Order: sequence, then structure tokens, then C-alpha cells
Amino acid sequence: MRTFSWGRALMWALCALVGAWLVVPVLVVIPLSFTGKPSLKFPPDSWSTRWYANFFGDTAWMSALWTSLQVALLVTVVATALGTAAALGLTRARVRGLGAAQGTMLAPMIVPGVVLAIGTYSVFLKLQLVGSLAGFVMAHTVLALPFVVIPITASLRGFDRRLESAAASLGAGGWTTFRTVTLPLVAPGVASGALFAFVTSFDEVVVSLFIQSPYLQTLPVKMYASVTRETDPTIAAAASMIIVLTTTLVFAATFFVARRSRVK
Amino acid sequence: MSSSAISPDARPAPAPDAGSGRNDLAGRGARIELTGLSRRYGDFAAVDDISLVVEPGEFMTLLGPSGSGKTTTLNIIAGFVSPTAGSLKVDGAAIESTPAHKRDMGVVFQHYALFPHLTVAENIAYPLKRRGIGKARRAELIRAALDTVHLGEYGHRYPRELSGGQQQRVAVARAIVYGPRVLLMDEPLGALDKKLRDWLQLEIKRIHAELGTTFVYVTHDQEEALVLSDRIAVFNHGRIEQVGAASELYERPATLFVAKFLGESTVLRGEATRTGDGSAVGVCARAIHTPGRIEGSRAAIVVRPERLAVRPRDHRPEPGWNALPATVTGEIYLGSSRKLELALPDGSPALVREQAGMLSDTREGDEVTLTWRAGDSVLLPDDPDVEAVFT
Amino acid sequence: MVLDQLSGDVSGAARPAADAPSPARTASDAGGRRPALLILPALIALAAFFLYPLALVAWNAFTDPTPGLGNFVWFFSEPANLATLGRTFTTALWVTAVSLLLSYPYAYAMTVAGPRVRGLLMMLVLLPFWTSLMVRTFAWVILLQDTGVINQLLGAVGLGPFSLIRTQTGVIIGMVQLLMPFMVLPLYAVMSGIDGRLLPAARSLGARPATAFVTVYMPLSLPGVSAGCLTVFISALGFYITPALLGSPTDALISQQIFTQVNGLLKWGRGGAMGVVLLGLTLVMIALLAVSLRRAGRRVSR
Ligand SMILES: Nc1ncnc2c1ncn2[C@@H]1O[C@H](COP(=O)(O)OP(=O)(O)OP(=O)(O)O)[C@@H](O)[C@H]1O
Ligand SMILES: [Mg+2]
Repeated sequence: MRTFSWGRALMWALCALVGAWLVVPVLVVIPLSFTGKPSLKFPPDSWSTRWYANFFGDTAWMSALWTSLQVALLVTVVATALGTAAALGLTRARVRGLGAAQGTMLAPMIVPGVVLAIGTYSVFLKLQLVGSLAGFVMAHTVLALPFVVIPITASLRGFDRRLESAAASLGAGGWTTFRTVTLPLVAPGVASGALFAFVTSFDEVVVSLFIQSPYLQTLPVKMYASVTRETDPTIAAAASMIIVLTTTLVFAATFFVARRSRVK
Repeated sequence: MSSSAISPDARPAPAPDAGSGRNDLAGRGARIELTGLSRRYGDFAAVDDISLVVEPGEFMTLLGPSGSGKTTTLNIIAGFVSPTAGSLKVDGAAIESTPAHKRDMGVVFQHYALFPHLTVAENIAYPLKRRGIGKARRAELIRAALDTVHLGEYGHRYPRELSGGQQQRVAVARAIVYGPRVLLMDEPLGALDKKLRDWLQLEIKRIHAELGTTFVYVTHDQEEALVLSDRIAVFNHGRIEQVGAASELYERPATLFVAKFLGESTVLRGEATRTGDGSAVGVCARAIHTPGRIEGSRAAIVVRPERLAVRPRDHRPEPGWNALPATVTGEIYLGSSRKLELALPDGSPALVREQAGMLSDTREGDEVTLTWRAGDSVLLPDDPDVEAVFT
Repeated sequence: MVLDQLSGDVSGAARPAADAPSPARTASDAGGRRPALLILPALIALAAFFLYPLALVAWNAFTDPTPGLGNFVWFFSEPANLATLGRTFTTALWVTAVSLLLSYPYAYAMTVAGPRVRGLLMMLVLLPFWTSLMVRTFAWVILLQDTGVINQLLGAVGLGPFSLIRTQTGVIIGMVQLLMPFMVLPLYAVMSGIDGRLLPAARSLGARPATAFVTVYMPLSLPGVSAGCLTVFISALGFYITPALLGSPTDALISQQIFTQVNGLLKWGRGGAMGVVLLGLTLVMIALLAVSLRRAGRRVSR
């Protein structure tokens, strides 16, 4: 079994290639953002940090970043709250139609983005939500809900309900029990749900393309416009910062969750 | 192992040709010859220079503690692991370089390794298809194999729809259906409860008798080894300590490890000196006689518990008998026999087994004399490592 | 774009939390009606900003500009539309096939690798999984340029230059990389559950290594294959950003056509009809694969 085989060698070679092909394209963006020339030519032949200066000096980029952060944080709060409540209901309610409710909760994952985008657009035109912060938050919230509900439901299913009975027998009321026993124990699920919500909103492009206005754009929308119109390396600076931000966030969350589950 | 041991899932099948002992799958067993076989992982030798011959049709058990190299040896024979040194012959032909699928050996794995996506019949058909056997003949052979393991009605089921004992029997059926010359089994009963294990041991013994195939069987359960085997190879640290029939290993252990691993015994340690007709070993300031002789002077004498007798303290040993003073520290009543635990003057333990009907009237706390025939003292080189294994 | 991060299983698998099994239920949820109220806020949000928009798409398809099936008749009678539909399908098929071809050995390698290598391989999958789709698409725009890195590399070994950007090949290359995590993760989840002793067992029964792999391992990995293919295929069907930025405008996919109809031409009805067709196709694919998955699951689950 341990003998050399061409099949195995081929497999590992393929793995190395595929692994490289998965991450290298992402990493190409970072050196590009330090180019000295106003072109997206790779590899750059001179270096500078001017595109970062440009990013932070340009009101359009800055307001897009600010909008994205605001929307993503609000979506994190709203979607996590709605999703946690829904997950509690889904795992504990004993009523008919639970399956349908769960299906509806997960459906935003499978509906093609453009189809939902044109629908949302027509609704927002009626409700005059186009180009509004509330509009972005609500549109992104429904997209994020499945990704919040799934991990929290999983955590709740693995949760020993007798602990709540124990808390009640020790004198804790319903809300106190939830706050002091249930929530801390399902916190890893809630944390990954919140992380998914943030990333989902922060990355969303298609629906945002429709519901944006010239006065209120998110960062990915601004990037999309930039790719289609200009060859300005500021976008590479923006992309690099997004890469660093999401990677840090994910590693921090992974670390947090790993520690929490070890405590458990 | 009486009829009361038959498990609830053991449907007593109408044994088709009980008595005659003939089986459609019967064939000739192969002779297996391992010579100087080793398998190293880095600096560590999982199997260390072992040599062993398994005769055609023999039931050979590889017995030893966990990590002693039994599975590795079996895997070398099966072709899943290649040896780093030594040779492996089957019926005289070297097969080290034959890949596993061409060795024509049946393997029964500890957790059965039944294919979950195939039914019982399809699982058993698998090796037949690999050998290009036609449909009609396949059906016949599957039937014969299922009958052999008394699972005639279960062909259409999936493995997950069977109990543990039934799955185990399907694994056996799958491994014997193509009439392999050798059947290798790695703790095939390890995952089952005691009752089922006792019953399946008898089934395996019956199948061995019906088929005439050479069996190599791995276990760390000494009782199982005694029930099943023609001969037992005792493994320790990747080496074979002794090979022999159960009685041989019990009566004439070659090493202290074998003596302690198989059955119970009293071990007396001391300095050995040669005498005219054997050796004398100094134990608790007395000379203990034995017909054996060894190299070196650090010796251990092993006496099996049924060979020891308890006499009053003032008893005088007859010529040719050994005697030691002892104190009774405990007694265990076992129905057909009684075990007495004793302490020698130096504090070391001794164990006596008395058959019912021949019980002495000793009680806990009594001061007594232990006696036994000099010929029942097995003299072995002392091995300080052995205690570590058993405590 | 959430659609591109599809599949519950996948997000579950990627989520690093530890889930204890065996839900211990007590008799304490007497009635169980009150907890149901907790679902309501989320359902109301979904009704207003998910179900209502979709209903409006369908409504527009049947009523704009005039009530009737006009928009669907238009869609199915224009050869250009059918060509778009076909192109969308073949692109999605290509993306699925190439992803599967690359992911299967990759996921298999993950199951046989030691813990360190496995961790590395997993990281390589999760990093793009978490990185913004827009960022990754932008990276591909750079790489696929006529004078981009890929053509430079190919040039160095004496090949090319190929036109990659604004071609279907470019779109497929980009989409495969973007969607591969959704193939690798379910494959790995299923493969790591396959009993490693089955392959030696098959070999002891006389199967050559390749035969053992095909007759034992592959059938057992099928649930992962179908889950991965379903996820990748329906995601690819609805992809917008990547084909819009990497593809040619004349070879647009159906998502791009919908965008153009609504945003460019203000043909809400026609865009709606195309949306209904796309959504319908997606649902049909899911239903088909769900049935086959269930069948496979019934055979394999222990
Ligand atoms: N692939 C391997 N790499 C390194 N060491 C190994 C490998 N396989 C086995 N070993 C080591 O070789 C020794 C013998 O292993 P083996 O599985 O043969 O023991 P065993 O007698 O079957 O034990 P058990 O009764 O626990 O099954 C063990 O110490 C084991 O750790
Ligand atoms: Mg073993």
C-alpha cells in the first residue's frame, strides 16, 4: 500500500494546482494595489501607496465604505435578532406548517439573485425605498436570514433542554433563563450566524445594484461601477482592504467559536 | 458455551447436512510460511523478525496484548502492508510482491467492512463478480455461503438492517464464498457482547471444520484463543514469544510473558544454581527444586494454581516435593472450584485452585504450608519487563 | 450576492461551531404554540421583502404591458432568447462538470491527508469561500486580460495569447473558481464519512485498486456528488456579476438579459417572464436532484 504510485503522485500534483488556483487569484489583488502607475497591469513595475491615499481621500469611495459598514452592521443586528427568534421557534414550536415556515426561511438561498433583485426593485419603487438605508438593510436582511437560521438551529438542536428546566427549578424566570443559560450555550451558533449576516450584506452586489441611488451606494456597487468604467487602481486598494477585513473577521470568529466549544 | 449461550438472534437453522460435515465450499487449505518477517515504521518495529509456519487446514491464532503487532502481521499476509524484511510464502511460492487482490485470501475485518450500498447477497456476490463467475453459478455459491452461516433468508437485506452478529456472519460468508485457501480474521468478534461471542466462536470452529481452509485468527482474548485454536502464536512487542498448542503453552510456557498472559500462575523469583538433576532456586531463604535448567542465574519459577496444595503449617514435605510457608489472605468461591489467595513471607502473592470435593478446611488468616511437586515447577529466565505489562 | 453562497449544508459544513448530537427533548414545551410566535417577525420580513417581490415579478410577467401570456410567447418564440437559455444551461453544465472533475480528487485527497495537510487544503477552500465575490471577480478581470498574468505565463512557455476575457471560456474559468468551494465541501463531508476499511476489504475480495474505487468508493460518495452538483449548477444558472464582467455582451446569459430588460429597456413584463422561467428551471432542478438524493440516501445511510 505504501509503495509509490503514479495515481497518488498525480492526485497530489492536482491538489497543489487546484489549491493554488483557489487562492492565488485572490492574492493577486494585494500587490496590484501597491502599483505606482495608474493602470491595472500586473505585475506592477513600480510601487506606491497612493491608491490607498486616493481611497481615503475620495468622498465617493469613503461614503460607499461607510454605507456598506452601516448597512452590514445593521443587518447583522436585525438578521441575528430575527434569525435567533425564528430558530428558537422552529426548534421548539409544535404547530402545523412548521415545515413550510422553515422552507420559506431557507428559500432566499436558492432564488437567483437577479430575479429577487428586479422584484425588490419594483417593490422599492412603490414604497419609495430606492436609495435608502432602510431599503438596503431590509433587502440584505432577508438574504442573510437563511445563513443565520441554519447555524443557530443546529446549535439549538444540540442543546440539552433539561438545563433550562434546571435553571427554572433554581428560580430563574423565562427571560433570565434564556439570557443566562440558553444564549451562552448556543453562542457559537449565534456568533457564526452573525458573521454570516455581516459577510452576506457586506458582499451583496446584485440586489444592491438595483436599489442603489447615485447618493447611496455600497462598496461592492461602487467597485462594480469602477470595474466597468475605469482602470483606476483605487479599486485594487479597496479590494485588498476587503480581503484583509473579511479574513481577519473570519479567523477571529473561528478562534472565538473554537474556544467557546472547547469550554463546552 | 452450552446451549444456554445461544443468542436470541441465532435462529437455529435446519443444518442442511448436519453430521456428514461436508460443505459445497470446502477446499484445501494452504501452507503459510513467514520467515524473518519485519515491518518497521521509522525506528519503531511493529513486527520484529518473526518466523511462523501455518500448516494446511490449521487454525492458527495470533494472541497478544494491544499493539503487539498482530494486525500488522495479518495485514502483511493479506497484502495490505508490505514487509520491510523477510519472506512470505504460500504453498511454497513467494508472494511478497503479489498485490492484495491477487492473493486469493479471505479477510474478515473487525468491524466487518460490509459495503453499505450493497445488499447481503450483492456483498457476497462481489468477490465472485471480480472473478468473472457466471450468474447461475454465483447464485449457487451465494446460497451455499448463506446456508453455511445460517442466514439463508437474509440475502435481500442491507447490512444496516442486520444485527451485529448477523453482520459478522455475512462478513464470514463473503470471505469464504470464493473458496479461498486461507481465511484471515482480525478480532472478528471484538465488537460483540459476551454471549454472542461464545456462540459465534462455536460457529467459526464448525465452519473451519467443514471447509478445511487454513485459518489465521487474531485476538487478544486468551479464552477465545483456547477455544478455537489448533495452535497459538503469542505476540509481544512485535515478536513471537512462543508457538504451540494451548496445552503446551499452558504447561510448558517458554517465557515468563507467556506464562502470565495465558492463565493464572504463581511466580517465585530468586537466584538459580545447578544441581545434579536440575536447578535449585532460592526463594524466601529456602531452596525450591525444579528439573529445568537455564542460562544465567536470575530465575523465575512458575507454578499453575491447580498444581499447588495447601497443608497445615507443621506438614513435612515428601521427597521430590517443594514447600513454602504462607498466609491465606483471601478466598473466592467459584462453584466448581475455590481460589485461595496467599502471601509468602517476602510479601509476594501466590494463588491456589482447589477442586470442589477436595477442599481443604483453610480459612482466611490461616498460617499454612504450600506444597507442590518439584516437576510442576517451570523454570524460566526472569524478565523484569513483564510485570509492567500486567500491572 | 447571497445566491452565490448557496446551500444550507455547505454553510453548515463550513461553520466552525461544534454541534452536539442528540437533541434531548423534555416534556416542558407543553402546547408549543407560544414558541411559534417567535417565527413571526422573520416571516413578516420575508413576506414583505422576499415573497412579495417574487410575486410582483410573476405578476408583471403576466400583466405588463397587457394581461396574458404575451411575455412568455415572446420569450419562447425569439430564437435569441432560446439561444440565451441554451447558453446559460451549457455554461452551468460546463462549470459543474469542471468543478466536479477538479473537486473530486481534491476532496478525496483531503480525506487521506494527515491533519496538517488537511487543514491547509481546507483553508485553501475556505479562504475564497469567505472572500467577497466582487473582489474575486475583479481579480479574474485582471488575470484574464489579453495582456494579463495568464497570457503572460502561457506566452512564457510559447503558447497563446488566447482571448479569455469576454469569452465563454473566461466566464467558465472564473465561475469554476468561484463555485468550487460549494463542490468541495459537500464532497468532503460525505467522503470523510466513508469507512476507510471498505477499500482494503474490496481488495481482499479480489478487486483491483481501480475496480475497488469504482465499485465501492464512488457509489458511496454519490450523495456528495449530487449535493455539490446541485448547488453549483443552480448557482451557476443564476450567476450575474461574473458573466457580466468576464463574459461578452453578445453572449449574455439569462441573468444579464433580465438585467437589461428591466434596467435598460424598462420591459418589466419581459424581464419578469425571463425571471419566472429561470426560477422555474431552478426549482425543477432542485426537485429532480432532491428525489435522486433521497433515493441514494435511502440506500447508503446506515
Ligand atoms: N501505519 C503505521 N504507522 C506507524 N505505526 C504503526 C502503523 N501501524 C501500526 N503501527 C504500530 O505498530 C504497532 C503494532 O500495531 P498492530 O495494529 O499490529 O497491533 P495489534 O497487535 O493488532 O494491536 P490491537 O490488539 O490493539 O489491535 C502499534 O504500536 C502501532 O502503533
Ligand atoms: Mg489489531
